[in-house]
Amino acid sequence: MAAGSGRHRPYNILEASMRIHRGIGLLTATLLLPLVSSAAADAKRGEKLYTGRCGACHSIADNGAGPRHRGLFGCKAGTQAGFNYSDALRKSGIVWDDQTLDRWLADPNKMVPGNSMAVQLASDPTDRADLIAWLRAATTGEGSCQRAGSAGQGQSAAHR
Amino acid sequence: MSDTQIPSTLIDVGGSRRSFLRRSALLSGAAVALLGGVPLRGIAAHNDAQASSDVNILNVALGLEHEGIAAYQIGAGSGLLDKPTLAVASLFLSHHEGHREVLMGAIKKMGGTPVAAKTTDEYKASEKLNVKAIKTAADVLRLAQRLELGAANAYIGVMPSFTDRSLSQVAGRLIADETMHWTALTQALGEALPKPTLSFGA
Ligand code: HEC
Repeated sequence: MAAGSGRHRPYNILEASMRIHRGIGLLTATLLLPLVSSAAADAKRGEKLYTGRCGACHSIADNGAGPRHRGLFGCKAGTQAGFNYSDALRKSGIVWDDQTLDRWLADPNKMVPGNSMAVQLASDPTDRADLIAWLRAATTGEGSCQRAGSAGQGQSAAHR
Repeated sequence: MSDTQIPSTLIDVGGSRRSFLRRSALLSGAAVALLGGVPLRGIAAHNDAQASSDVNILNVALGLEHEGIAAYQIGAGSGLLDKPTLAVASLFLSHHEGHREVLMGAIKKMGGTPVAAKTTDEYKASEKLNVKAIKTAADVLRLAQRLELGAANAYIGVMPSFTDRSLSQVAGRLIADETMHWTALTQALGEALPKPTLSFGA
């Protein structure tokens, strides 16, 4: 069993060249993201990555060292009930979707300085696309966060 | 020619051995500093926000150690492990207790409050540990393996975020222990080691 990164995928050459051309890498990643995440993302692999890399702190159902992820898509950042977030994330104004999650997972410290996740475990765009695909499938259902566009407090605003 | 080469090779070997020993002495010096009441290097130079972000990271790590200790205690008390496996589980448990002491010491030294462990009943009820699903010795080992991998990866993930670099060294040493445990558990389960290089973190 692989410890984290799993099997090789056809994107490797592309990724390698993106790494070489660091300067334009970000741009390339941004342009490719919709393609990677919609067409080719591998949610099954994403689940493995989630268990191995995120599972120490997160689960879908329960708060732990990190907040629960139930209902994640469309949540305002930092609003799952009962979790003690950093001020930085609570006040960030972020709403979670494919794009914001991709930026967060690439480097939370860059996106939200002062956040308390401070984890860099998904520097590879394919890993992030797979993780996000899995999160999208696994986090459906009622969360306990504030939905975007609602002014309600935590608990109640759980409907999608 | 060869007359001079042979002794110089010997001297090289001696020299690198000496510098290796010196480096080892430095490492244990840092460990002593962490455990023995000497302030961590560089703390004074950091501002409150940086120190408190380091403390937050250490407290997340401490929470994982508390949970690991509970899991090993539950596993050891399950009656499912044979004697040799129980001995290894107890050894790993003691390593995690050591980690807990190191982290609590560091957090206090930095002016933070170490997070408390949950109760055993809370750990038993947690969906993450899923203790009620444990039926065999292999289930115990698989839980421990999953927690060790998660902890190793979590430490790798937070390592670049420490503002006090001496904490990165502490994290590195913790990661080495978790990886040692993960490897032993993986072999005990008869599973292959990872084929890809750099398979931890990412
Ligand atoms: C070391 C523990 C740790 C690890 C490992 C970790 N996280 Fe987190 N995560 C946190 C913490 C703590 C927060 C809350 C951050 C804050 O309050 O600033 C968080 C917040 C988040 C959020 C925002 C949730 C919300 O309710 O706004 C997402 C999304 C997230 N993490 C995803 C992930 C994913 C995916 C991974 C694996 C690649 C991961 N995290 C790994 C600790 C961790």
